[in-house]
Amino acid sequence: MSLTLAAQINSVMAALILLTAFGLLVQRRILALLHLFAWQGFFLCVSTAIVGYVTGEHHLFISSLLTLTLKVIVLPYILYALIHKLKIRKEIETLVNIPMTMLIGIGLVIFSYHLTAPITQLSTLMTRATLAVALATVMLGLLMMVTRRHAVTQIIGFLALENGLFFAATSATYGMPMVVELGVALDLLIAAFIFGIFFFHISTTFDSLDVDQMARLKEGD
Amino acid sequence: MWLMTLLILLPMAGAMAAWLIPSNTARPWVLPLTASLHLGLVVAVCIVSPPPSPGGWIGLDAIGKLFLLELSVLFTACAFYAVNYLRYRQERKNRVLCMGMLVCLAAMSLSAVAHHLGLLWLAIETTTLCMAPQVYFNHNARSIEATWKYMLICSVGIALALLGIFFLAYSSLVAGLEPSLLLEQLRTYAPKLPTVWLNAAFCFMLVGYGAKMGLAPMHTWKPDAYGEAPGLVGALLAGGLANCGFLGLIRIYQICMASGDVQFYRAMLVGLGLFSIAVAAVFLVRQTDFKRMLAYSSVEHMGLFTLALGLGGKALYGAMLHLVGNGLAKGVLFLAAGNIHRAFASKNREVARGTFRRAPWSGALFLFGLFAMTGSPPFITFSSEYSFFSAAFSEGRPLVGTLLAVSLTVAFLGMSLTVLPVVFGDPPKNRERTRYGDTPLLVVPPLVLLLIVGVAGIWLPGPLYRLMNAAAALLEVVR
Repeated sequence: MSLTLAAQINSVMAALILLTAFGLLVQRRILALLHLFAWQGFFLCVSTAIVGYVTGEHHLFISSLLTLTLKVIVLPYILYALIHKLKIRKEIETLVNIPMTMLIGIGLVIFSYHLTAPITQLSTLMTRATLAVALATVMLGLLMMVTRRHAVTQIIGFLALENGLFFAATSATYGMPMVVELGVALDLLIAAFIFGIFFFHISTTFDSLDVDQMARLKEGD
Repeated sequence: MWLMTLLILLPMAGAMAAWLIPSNTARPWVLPLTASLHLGLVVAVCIVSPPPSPGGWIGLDAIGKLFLLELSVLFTACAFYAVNYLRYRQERKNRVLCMGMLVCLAAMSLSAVAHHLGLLWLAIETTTLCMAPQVYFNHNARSIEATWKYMLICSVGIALALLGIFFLAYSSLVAGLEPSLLLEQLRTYAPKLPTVWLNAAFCFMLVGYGAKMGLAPMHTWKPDAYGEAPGLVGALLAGGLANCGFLGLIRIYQICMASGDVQFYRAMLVGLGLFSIAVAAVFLVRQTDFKRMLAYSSVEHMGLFTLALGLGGKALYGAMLHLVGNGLAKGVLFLAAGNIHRAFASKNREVARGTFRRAPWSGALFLFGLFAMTGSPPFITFSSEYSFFSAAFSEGRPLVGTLLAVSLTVAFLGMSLTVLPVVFGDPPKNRERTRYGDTPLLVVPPLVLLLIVGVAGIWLPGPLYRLMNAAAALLEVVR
């Protein structure tokens, strides 16, 4: 495999990650959201492995394997089990309508490219073109958390944001040191468990996972 | 090196013990035992000053020492308090609470000694996670809401801080340097790093760690979490976790100060700090819930820290004083507030009135805690807040100084309007008496904290004074 080919595949993966991020933004059905999230994790894992192969940084292979287990298998499975147990079918309405969300999302992508433009010319890394995508994925995850009113969707948004962060790590520095990466993965897993436990408590206390129900704590009551 | 590792391993071992002990009444004793050992260890480490680890990942500088001392003293007070508090709350299982507190202590200790930005981030993220079950200790609809907000805002915030860390790594790549996330390395790199990228990294980390500290406008989780969590958890959130966020900010600040041109960073910090103080002051007036009041007071003081970093000069020494003063005074107030909440089964100033007659010790502690918090002499916070004013005026920023004075006055009046009826008012008639009574274990820990804040304000021991000066020197602009 020649270097340029690897770089091209990597760019395709970046494009696919961005595409799935948009998919997550507009998809209303919760199971489809989970599938999209798992695909995003898969593209991330392939991209990390390619960068690892080209640069010879072997710890990236472990990182890629970690992404595969955590983001493609374990987390979607946990969420799937929760959705099944809590009998969630369809998501409730989003706060902002979908075409509008798309437009804001496109705006965010353009902003990310604009922000990273000065350095992509300076950098010599093969991954330089993907930094804008990583930043855009983070922002789209954030947008998803803001526009969705359902507890599970908010968490999927948060996990998509983390995908963007991992992507940024590979494109910025060819990955973090192993210890830190393992720690981040562990923290993510624990966070997912805590959020999962909270889904149960929220749905039994409020009879729904609509976060708008949680509005008791205000000033002056 | 092994001493510093022990600082983290000891609380972990304590957490393991708490997990293994089956009895709900015996388990809380693990907390004071571990905390006392940890405090002893911290003092030993501060005297020995162990050299950094070979890779430079773990090291102990003056800032870390000061942070560890404050943390360990506060935690020990909370731990002794917890024994009696949990006796009142026998209806709840306390296994998760005891474990979570100890794991959190380990993570906070790690953040104090971490000199690798990735490791520091990891430690801070862990503190967020292991505090979540504690905020949820009461298991009701209100505490779910509070915990959900806390988890979401802090997790997203800290994720943004991680992005900032990557930007930092990227900036060193752009400058043609070997990428590194070690603090000392980055400080030597700083003058060569491209300004745009350093600025971007700083902004992301300011927002990220600012959310963890609870700076306005990222503070919205704070009144809810502090209001719904038990008093001792509130004390740890305000005097431990918030300081962890501040430590994260301090580390990036140190790098920025080494970069040469510091105008941008200073302006951002002063702006955000003043904004937080002003927002907190507004919400402190007419606050009926005294635990939420304490949360806004915490927002105010985090704003003061940020402002102090922005002002520089004398304010840096003040910030280090304030790190100790604010943390311990918050401990006094939250522990006393926990007692008052128990005594009246309410945290509303309309119901919880006249603590002096109902629980005189807790009432007195709450009153003096207010003075310690708002910077009245002789407390240590007086000297620190004075240094902020003097820095603002002597550095030729009278507008900043005036705004600060107005906000602090409003905040003081607002807090007094809530605290005074709670302490001196007439106890409500026709209300069922709770079985709460002031006991030594519930009163002595906050009293000790109050005495430390008071005595240190009058006479600061030599070694501590030198430590604070050394810590402030680490924050100076590198020339």
